[in-house]
Amino acid sequence: MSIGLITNQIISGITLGFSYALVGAGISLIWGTLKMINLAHGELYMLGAYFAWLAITLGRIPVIPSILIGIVCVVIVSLVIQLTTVRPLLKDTKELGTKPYVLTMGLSILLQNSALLIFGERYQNIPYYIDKTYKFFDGKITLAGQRVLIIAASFSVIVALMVVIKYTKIGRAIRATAQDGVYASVMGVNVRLVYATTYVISGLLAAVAGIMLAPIYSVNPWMGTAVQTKGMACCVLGGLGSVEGAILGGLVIGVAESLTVNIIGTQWKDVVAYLILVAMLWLRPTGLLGKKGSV
Amino acid sequence: MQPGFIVCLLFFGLLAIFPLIIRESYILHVGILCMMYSCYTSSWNLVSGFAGIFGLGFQALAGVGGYVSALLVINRGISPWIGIFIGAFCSMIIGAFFSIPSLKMKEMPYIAISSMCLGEVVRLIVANTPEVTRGEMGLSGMQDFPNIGPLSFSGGNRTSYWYLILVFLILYVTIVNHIVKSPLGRAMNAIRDSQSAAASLGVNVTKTKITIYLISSFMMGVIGGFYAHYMQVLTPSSVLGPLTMTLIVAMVLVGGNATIAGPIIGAFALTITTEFLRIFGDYRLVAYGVIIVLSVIFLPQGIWGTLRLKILPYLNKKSEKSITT
Repeated sequence: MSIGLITNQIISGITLGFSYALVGAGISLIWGTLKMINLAHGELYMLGAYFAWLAITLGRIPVIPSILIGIVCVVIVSLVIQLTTVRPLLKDTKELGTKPYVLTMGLSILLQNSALLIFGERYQNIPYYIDKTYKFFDGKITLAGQRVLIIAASFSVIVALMVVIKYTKIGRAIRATAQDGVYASVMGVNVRLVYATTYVISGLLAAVAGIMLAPIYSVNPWMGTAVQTKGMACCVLGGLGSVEGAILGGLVIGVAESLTVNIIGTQWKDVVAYLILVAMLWLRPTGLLGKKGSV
Repeated sequence: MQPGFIVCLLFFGLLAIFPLIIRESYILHVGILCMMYSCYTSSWNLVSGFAGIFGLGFQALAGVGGYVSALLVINRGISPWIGIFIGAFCSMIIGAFFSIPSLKMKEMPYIAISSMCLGEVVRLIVANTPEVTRGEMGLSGMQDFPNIGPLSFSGGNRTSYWYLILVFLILYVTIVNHIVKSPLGRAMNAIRDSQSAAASLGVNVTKTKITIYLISSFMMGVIGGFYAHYMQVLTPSSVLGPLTMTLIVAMVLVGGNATIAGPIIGAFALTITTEFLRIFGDYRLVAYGVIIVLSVIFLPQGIWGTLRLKILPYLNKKSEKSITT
């Protein structure tokens, strides 16, 4: 195997890793504040891709407004989901347990099959947003513009998220709620607002990931499930509740997958990714960046 | 006699005479599915409900039992009666691996996600080795169970399968009831409430967890074998796919977590609901999703839990009143 090939694989692994990280960051954020796994996260990703596809192919709207339309629509959908289903459930926070798991699973079945009924089971395609290929070292290393765009968009969205969490008022409220919801509300944090905001931000992350990846993978009602499982694996690998962890986990799994494709074969890439997760957690149960004692 | 025991006897008695009255093959098939899912949910509830370990991926354990049993029957000509127990033994070995995530980790999502990934690994391995398992083309050609007395299993005779799965269900309910009341059950409860407290009181946490996983996965494996010989066809996506686990979790939660009757009520309720929803045609799964969401919001304790909490005390009060007046 030539060095050029390996480099190409690593680059595509990094692209993959960033998109997993974007999905994982949303799951991680929700776990951090709401202490629940959102199994409908993949469906928000799927809806983002569908809304963008509707705007681009049926609405004939230019790319950048279409992307914004997709994001706004998903933000509205996730706000509706939060207000109608998650909020009633959060009334008794003590006995949350496994209920959110089943609730969001029901939501996922609902959204997936609604999409199937509305958009049909045909796989839809979105043209590449950037249709250029960059070549380096006499064409040994190629870089598709779409991949550069994915890395750039994911990176900037994640950095923006981290800035919001670290430096803004709502970010401080989110961190306080993540540490202790009851205590935060005693200190005057509007916890219900924080829950709603977190859910909406996570929906936004899912939408960005879905819209960015839609040109590479075709748009279909089931596209969210596989990515969601990967995203969850990444954020658990990195340490749940930390956005940095989701990025690191995403990169590890993405690169491992791309290399497996070349070394062992395409059909074994998911096996390798999941086994890495299980082995890593056996050695370090808190995840790569998780705090000791938080598990 | 306890009232619970009488209800249990009535329920199983009803199930026992049901095929004598109704002989329609479709209804019997739905009933068999209900009882099969009741067995699955009862086994999973041991781990999730009574021990409080939210491990997923259990569909893989049932699937391993089914695949091993089917392969032995097809390739080695072993009787299915022996096959399903060898299959279940293999499920038990895989179950030991599945207990690994729960040993070191305590928080729910870590256990849930890593065991879900293990389940996916099993599915992918089966799907990627078509030379042995025939992959997505489907494994078929298992023998029927040999006849026992008047019960003939040839040609997928629904009545015989009905009684077979009923025997398994009664056995499973008895086993779960015994385990919950045994020292092991007490240890499981202690672990669910607080691991550190349980450990400080002398409960061997690791041993208890592994034991409960082994028991549960053996139980899953037996029913997986039953499924293989009843359905006569196995594909990785239908047997090992995450949808089966989704159904099991929904059934347990809708029925009532950590109770003996709850998972069975949930399995019957959701299986029958799914069949009734067929009148909605394409909207069936949408309606199914809505039902799950609504039941989680409005019946947080599950059907049985709500009944027990809200209605039974009311009935008791009434009967007390009638005694005093």
